[in-house]
Amino acid sequence: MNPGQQADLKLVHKAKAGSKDAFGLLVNKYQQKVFYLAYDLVGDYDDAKDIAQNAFIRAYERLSMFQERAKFSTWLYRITVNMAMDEHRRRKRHPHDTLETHIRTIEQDAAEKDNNEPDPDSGERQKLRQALINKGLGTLSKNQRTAVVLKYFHQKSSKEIGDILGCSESTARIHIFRGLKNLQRSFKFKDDLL
Amino acid sequence: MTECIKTDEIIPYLTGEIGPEQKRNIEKHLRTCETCQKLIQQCRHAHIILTQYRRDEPPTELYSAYSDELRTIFTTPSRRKKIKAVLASVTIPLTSTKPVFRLGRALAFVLIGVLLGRVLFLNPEKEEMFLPYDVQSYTGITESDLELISTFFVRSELLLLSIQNTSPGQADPADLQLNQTLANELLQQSTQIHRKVNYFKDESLFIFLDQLEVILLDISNRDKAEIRYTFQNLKKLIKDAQLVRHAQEWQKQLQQVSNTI
Repeated sequence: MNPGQQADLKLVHKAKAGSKDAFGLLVNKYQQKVFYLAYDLVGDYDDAKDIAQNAFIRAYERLSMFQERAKFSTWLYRITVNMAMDEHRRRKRHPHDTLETHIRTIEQDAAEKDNNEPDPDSGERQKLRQALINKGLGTLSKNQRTAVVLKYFHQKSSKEIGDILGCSESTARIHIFRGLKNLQRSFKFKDDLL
Repeated sequence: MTECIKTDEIIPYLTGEIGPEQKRNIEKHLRTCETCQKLIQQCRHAHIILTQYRRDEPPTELYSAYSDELRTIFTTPSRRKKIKAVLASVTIPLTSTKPVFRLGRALAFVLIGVLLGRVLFLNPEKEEMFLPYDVQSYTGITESDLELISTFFVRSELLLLSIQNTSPGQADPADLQLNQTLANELLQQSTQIHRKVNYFKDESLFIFLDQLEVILLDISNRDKAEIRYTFQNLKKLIKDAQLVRHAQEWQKQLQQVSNTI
């Protein structure tokens, strides 16, 4: 157990004993990571804010159930992933076309411009690339998307991804591979933009 | 490495999570196995794109709000902050523009105006009145009761003044006769007055009436050789107990009570 994990556990013990301030320190440490994870999973900053806040509240409410077998961060990530997936399911029932509209707008803007080759590093191109990646991620299954996001955007090991998803390390690697394969398929006709 | 690459080995190979020897074996195998080359190609491009991916920064205001809200939820406020929060909540009714608070402020102003008006303009003389009793204490007393008691005090004052002004050894028999008659009449009323003044529940009033009764008895018995005090002693008693002043003050207070009722 590294010093960071030991410090987390000490704070967890204090929080379990009733110290809200101790949990506040954990929140301070992980608030950015949890926020970005929520964003990477749902692709919208407003939703990410709500998901991340609710994830911390749920973690605080259920802290007594944290068995300390895994790292606190892994447990927290797992809660965040579950909450993001709930949001994902809710969206599927009530879809909103924010991302689609966003991509279409950027593509139209690009088409309206002269036939000049757009600057590869321009802000618009960067936005389009992000939107396409988000769209591609949106086509993946829950486990594939989570595994890919955790691997590439949060630099988690396959072992940790397995812990977060509740599967083996080997299964986590397969989720990532299949996720990449599906993503590459969705990028097929957009290679020039990527 | 002669065996084909397993699916769960592809990601560690791409991300460098394997040792150098294993990597060499995989690369050696890839040079000869077209199937495994295709397998790797199925995801290599996506791997490169995601490795280069940089997400855009969140809107600053949104992230600040998120961070502030979390801090508020998971920080125990200090005592100073608690006091500030209480003060802030107290000033809300004074500063809020919500219709409910506006209406409340308007009503409060009207109420304050009415109260000030009453204090400043209505019956200012009442402020100067000395009312020794709660109005409740004389509830039930009638106008005729007050008149009876008032008359009793007036006549008592007259008798006390008469005794006080009589020089020792020079008492006029006619005056003495008058005083005795008055004292007898007051004695007859005394029990009734005692009962009536019970409304006032004032100990000093009862003491005054008791002292007066002693004097009345003495005066009324002057021809029956049952006198306890000489005239001189009576005068001293009246002076020491300030009975005349008490009689006068009680008349004033009875007048005020009468006005209030």
